[in-house]
Amino acid sequence: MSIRTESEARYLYVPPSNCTQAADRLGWEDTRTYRAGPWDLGIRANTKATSQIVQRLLPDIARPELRGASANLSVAFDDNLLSRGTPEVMQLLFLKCKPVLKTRNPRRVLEALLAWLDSFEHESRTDYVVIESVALIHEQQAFLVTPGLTRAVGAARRRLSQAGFVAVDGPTLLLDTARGEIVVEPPATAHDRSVLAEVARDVDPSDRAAAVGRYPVEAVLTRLHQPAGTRLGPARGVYGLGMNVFNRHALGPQGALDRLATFAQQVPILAGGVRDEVVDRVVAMAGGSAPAHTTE
Amino acid sequence: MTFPVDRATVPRQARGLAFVVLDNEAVIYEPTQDKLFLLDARATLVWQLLDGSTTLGTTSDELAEEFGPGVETLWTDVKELTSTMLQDRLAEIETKKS
Repeated sequence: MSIRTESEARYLYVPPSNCTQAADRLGWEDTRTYRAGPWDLGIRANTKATSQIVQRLLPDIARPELRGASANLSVAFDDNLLSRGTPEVMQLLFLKCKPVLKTRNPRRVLEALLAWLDSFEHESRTDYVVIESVALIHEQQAFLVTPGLTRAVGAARRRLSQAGFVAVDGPTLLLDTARGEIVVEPPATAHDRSVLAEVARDVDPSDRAAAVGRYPVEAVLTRLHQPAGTRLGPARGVYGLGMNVFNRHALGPQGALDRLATFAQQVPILAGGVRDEVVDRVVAMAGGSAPAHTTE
Repeated sequence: MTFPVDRATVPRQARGLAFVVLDNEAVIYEPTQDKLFLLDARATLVWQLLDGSTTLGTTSDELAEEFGPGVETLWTDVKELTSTMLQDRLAEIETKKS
């Protein structure tokens, strides 16, 4: 890969805000530049040791010649991560200034970092519909929650974990619309796997992300003004999913709609309701104790 | 901005839209706004009839003949729906060259 000069770099600028200022105050060691898709991204680390872990994880995409990147992603590890046994404090991954993953599992942070880096390639994919949503996996079945409802899911992580759900880490999901499945792929970003093994720790088994594989989608919960649990007609289902398509340009707008139509005709798409209703519904459906839906 | 229409107006579906119609409801993607629209069955029917050659008055009369409600009520619906679709760029009116 050719070396770029600063004037050729493709940074994703993160403008200063109250949020970035608050994140900055947490204290960071450095921000280094890495190539992801067409972008030169800044990955910030909280300590020298964390920075070295990231550098050793991603040697092939490092861009040390570029020094102007914003902190697009930030990794915060316990300062004594490598000298201790099981970490007791939360390890964090930030997107810009917001924490997007809190876990006691440092390997999970690095794998999520890889998933975020992968997502910068997803815009150009044509094999799947790439959708911005949260997927919750329970006994090999997936429940999708679209943006607008995901805050409720974030607030209920512990409850969902106790109920046996694991999440797909990363900002985007690969949706096989013909088969009605979520596809979790191994990381595509070049990385040194030995570093993942190095930071792996024995942690609570529930503190993990969904494994690589295919998961049939049991239901999609989306935000439309209908009573919670109402099964939406296929057009409303397409509408609920449609604005969250990440690779619309690559698929073409018509191609994206056609694929979502195929999906919406085979998978129940439900009105998610508000706040706790969303999580209540997912938990009940997974446990078989709730009617899947009412009719619109 | 409002889009006044009358019975002589001849609108058509806007060019460059992507859409699917499922169970008589349309989902339409309008690229210049990067926006999706959901049309109920009634609006979908009207939108599908915007062919760029039929006046709105004729369209309204044909719908009244098929569905039976009072012509005036139906005309009001067609007029309002079409005006909204023009505003949302789901429909357009050809500008004639003089």
